[in-house]
Amino acid sequence: MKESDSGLVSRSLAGDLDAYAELMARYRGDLGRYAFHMLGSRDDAEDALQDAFIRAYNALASCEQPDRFGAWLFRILVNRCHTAQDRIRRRAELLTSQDPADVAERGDAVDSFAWREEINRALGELRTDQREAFLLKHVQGLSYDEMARLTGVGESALRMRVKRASDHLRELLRDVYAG
Amino acid sequence: MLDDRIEPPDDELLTRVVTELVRPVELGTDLDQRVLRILRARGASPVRPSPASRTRTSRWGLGLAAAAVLVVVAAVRLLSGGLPAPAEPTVPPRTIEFSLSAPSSSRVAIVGDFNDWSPSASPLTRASGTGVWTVRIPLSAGRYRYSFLVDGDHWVGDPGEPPAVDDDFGAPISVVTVYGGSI
Repeated sequence: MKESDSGLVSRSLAGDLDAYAELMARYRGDLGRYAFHMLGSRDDAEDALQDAFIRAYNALASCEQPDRFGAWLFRILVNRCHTAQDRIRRRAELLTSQDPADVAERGDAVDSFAWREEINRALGELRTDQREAFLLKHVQGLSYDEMARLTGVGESALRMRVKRASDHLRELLRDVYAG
Repeated sequence: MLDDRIEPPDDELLTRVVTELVRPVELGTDLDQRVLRILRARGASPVRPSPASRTRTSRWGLGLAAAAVLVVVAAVRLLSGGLPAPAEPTVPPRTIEFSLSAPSSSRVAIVGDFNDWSPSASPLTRASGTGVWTVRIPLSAGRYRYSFLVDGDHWVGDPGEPPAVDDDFGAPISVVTVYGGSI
């Protein structure tokens, strides 16, 4: 039987790093996926996730509901992603190639890989707050109430962000999608 | 009141987008091990205060704890010249030497996560009589992306370090991982 998050948190607090490794393995997939779609690159997602895991470990004694460790860890990751955005933007501004030959042409999404690339590209063109709201709602599956508690943003504003993100994604992908 | 549902007639398009976005994403398989190495290098071990000690936490206990924190902060200031994040264990940064062979260049700088991607923050120095440029940078435990800017106009990756997995910006990016402590 799988050990509960509470049990693993208790053992981690006692200094058992194997228990913490188990917690990381339990949440790495879900959180890594969010970080990847939020930040747009595997390297940046790994950095944010690594940072979140370390901060969570150091603050573990303040996790008041160990049975909801995953939600608590996710909140830390969302904040890490916010911090990463500025650094990523500066790097992108400095390094983005101006050579038109380096810019991939948009073409028909004739295979699943190309379709995934187009989705990631479109996601990257959303405003950060809209991308975050769309991912929290439709990929993480949070309710608007949960999203409001996580982000500190009101439900009305979150609904508007999700709608605008949806509208913009449709606009960006309509020509690509042959469905 | 905005509708939660994905609006027709593009339900299918956004449904397919979401279907793609919920697929698993492979990150580095060694990520967990890197975290554990960093935690071991820091000697980190979160201690949960017992209910009894919490109630007995007195002015004495708080005063001693505050004094201990001040000692750690002062020590790290001396070693690294900077303030640590207050709530986390502190480990002195390691000094990492970066070098690039560029005999025909007139200036080389290193630009990366550790200097806020500033092209002017960390110029390299050329060793006299050689074409090798070097700079030493103190780095805390963590992973850093960087690249060399040569003559102010073209980017060169570090031949001695692995390239970043993703390079979306048309420039060669290298990655260095610092574990801190004696590791």
